[in-house]
Amino acid sequence: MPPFLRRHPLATVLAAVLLFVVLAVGTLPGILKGIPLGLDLRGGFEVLYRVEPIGGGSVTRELLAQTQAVLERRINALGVSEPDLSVENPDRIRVKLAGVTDEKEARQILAAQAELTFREVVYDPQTGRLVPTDKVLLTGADLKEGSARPEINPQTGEAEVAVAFKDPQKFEALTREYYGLLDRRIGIFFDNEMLSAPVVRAVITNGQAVITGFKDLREAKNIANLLNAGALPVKLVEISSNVVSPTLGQAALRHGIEAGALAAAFIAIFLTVLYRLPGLVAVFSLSVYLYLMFVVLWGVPVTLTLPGIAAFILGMGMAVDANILTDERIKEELRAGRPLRVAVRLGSQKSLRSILDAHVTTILAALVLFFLGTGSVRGFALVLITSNVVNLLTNVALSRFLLHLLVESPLLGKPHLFGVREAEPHVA
Amino acid sequence: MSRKGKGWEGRRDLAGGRSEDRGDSYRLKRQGDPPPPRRESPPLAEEMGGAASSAGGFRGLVDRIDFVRFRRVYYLVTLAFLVFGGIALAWRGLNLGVDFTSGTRIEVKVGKEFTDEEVYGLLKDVPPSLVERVGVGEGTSLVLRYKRVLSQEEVDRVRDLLSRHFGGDLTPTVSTVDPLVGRELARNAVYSTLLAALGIVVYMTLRFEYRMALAGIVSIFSVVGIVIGFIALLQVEVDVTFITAILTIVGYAISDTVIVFDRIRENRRLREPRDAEGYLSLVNTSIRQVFVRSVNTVLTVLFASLALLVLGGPGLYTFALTLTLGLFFGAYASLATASQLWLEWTLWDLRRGRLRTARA
Repeated sequence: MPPFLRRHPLATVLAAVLLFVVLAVGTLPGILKGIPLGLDLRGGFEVLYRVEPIGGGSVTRELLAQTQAVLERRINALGVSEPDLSVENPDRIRVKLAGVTDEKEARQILAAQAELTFREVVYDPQTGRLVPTDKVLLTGADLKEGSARPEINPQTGEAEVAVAFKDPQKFEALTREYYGLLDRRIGIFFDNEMLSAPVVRAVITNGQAVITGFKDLREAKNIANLLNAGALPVKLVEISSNVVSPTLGQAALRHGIEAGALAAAFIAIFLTVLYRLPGLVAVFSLSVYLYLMFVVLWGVPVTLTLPGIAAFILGMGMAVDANILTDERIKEELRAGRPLRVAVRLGSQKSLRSILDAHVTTILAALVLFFLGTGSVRGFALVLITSNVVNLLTNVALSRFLLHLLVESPLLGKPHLFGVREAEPHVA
Repeated sequence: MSRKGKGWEGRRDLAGGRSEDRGDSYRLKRQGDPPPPRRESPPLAEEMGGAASSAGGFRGLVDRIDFVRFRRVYYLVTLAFLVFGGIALAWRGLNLGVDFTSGTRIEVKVGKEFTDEEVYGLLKDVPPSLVERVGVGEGTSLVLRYKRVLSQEEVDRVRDLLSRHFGGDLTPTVSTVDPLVGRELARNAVYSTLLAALGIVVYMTLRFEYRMALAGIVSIFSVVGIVIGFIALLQVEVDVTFITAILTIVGYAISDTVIVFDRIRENRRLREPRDAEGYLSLVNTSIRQVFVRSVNTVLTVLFASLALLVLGGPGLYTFALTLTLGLFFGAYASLATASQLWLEWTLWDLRRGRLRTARA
């Protein structure tokens, strides 16, 4: 301990407390605002898909990664900030869109296969309608990547999507075959929906074509985006979905905060009454613990969800316990008649092993949960590990340091401030 | 443990005689027993540090409790709770939410009272399997449960009907789950918890001994069992947060148990018990020493979980309730099951001459 600190322990501690209060009050609002909240706390849309390859075959890791990449591009097209996509073994993809409440649109864009096909369409004289046959002439895979772009036809004023084909000769051969036929056409299908069935009016040799039949430019834009994002080589089967209304989510958060504030107030009073000076030190270390936890959540950033809050509470409990363990040990040593400074040192030393064992065991269990668990269990484990580490820094290291400093102070180095009456037996 | 610490303990042996009365209190109560053998290990100042018997108040009271004497009673109580919970589970089962079964759950905050008939009448086209309400007055929420998975159109229809009837544009919370996912979720959580338990056993065997590791795990699982039984009895709807709550309980139970065992280990190293009496008094002393800490910690955390239970709102209800029950039984088990089972096992090994030395 530097001599200056030893000479002015109380001033040092007070300065540290003051510094922390200023720092916390100044930065906390910004930090709290910056912590991403999970959709169970702010509302949003979550969906779990099972990936099924079209036309059979097995789901490989590459296929999942590819699907994930395509989904990401689609979400970006939706304009959602902070989308959260995760691959869950063996064949699942979980998509979380916090803040999205129009789940209908989200769902459509996510799960749309974006499969563009050109099929043969024939005229059915009985019904007087054009019906598609099973013959697929071209697919979206034949499109040149990134070539789709929405346009307004200057002549008709209609929205169109211009596309280009990889292999102009193939397209040329097709246009040659269907050229001028009224009852056999090349129909354009998007996800099994016939957009248009134009008559081929020219043999197209350069591979450039236009898809017509859109309601407006917005629709044309969406389709162009989807085409560029790539056709999914898979079918996405929705196996679970969760839409959290923002009112209920925020209510859960508000209730949680109210309960937390009340609990914090009670813990502070309880510790101070029971343990006096060490209790106050504990309250301070706990505040620093809370602050550091928020900083970590904000800096990493970890999305805070209900399970995360649960782990937070568990960590808080262990933090309180670490202080209580130390303070009880100090009381024991005082009761055994040891001088205060010695009691504080012995009490901290003896409680350290219990605290370390409890923390290491918990971290170990949390690590197992983190590597084996899925979804919410993982989030729980992550926050738990973090809180255990922060705990060791604040409620073990910091608490001790402050206590050791404080007993040096002639004003505070009194046993009764440690919750032990001086009338209690002294064994010496 | 530092050298300094040891040095101080040595000096306190001057007053060693005082600890005898506490060690003896157990023996005095069992009058039929043959006179106890002289304690071979030196009495520890440690004991007095924890609890000089003249201390008054709560501390003094705790020092007079004979914790190990009633261990058979604790087992019976624990077993009774487990059996009781098992019956509840077999009889009523867990009230599983859509997270674990399958179907669709729609929750919407309507902010006013309603009757079930009113809702069933309103939703004639899409009749729910069950209508529930959460909260009261302004905070009333309507929960509809469907045993089947609703289509998007049906969800929209329900939303429309509710919005028109209750007024305002209501945004419901809609959860739809395929049966496979829920079961997998639960299975995955159980597997990872079991593996985590295995990890704890390995770690505790290394740091402590295998008897403590296994006694601890048995105690932790008894807590989980009791809590699940209670939740089944109360028929609270169980969702994913339940898994989180159970994990939290396991976390508390572990750290609580480790702390008691740690004290036992520390005291054993100092006093080196050689006979049954020695072990009985070892466990008694250790529990006495950690008892106040246990009570204080549990009170603190229990208050936080009670606050969550009362103020936490419907979203946190299951979680808070499970946590509150778990904290209570967890504290009980770390003192009444874990250390006592360890004692039982150690005594058994002692009788069969399996314990190599006092330092096992």
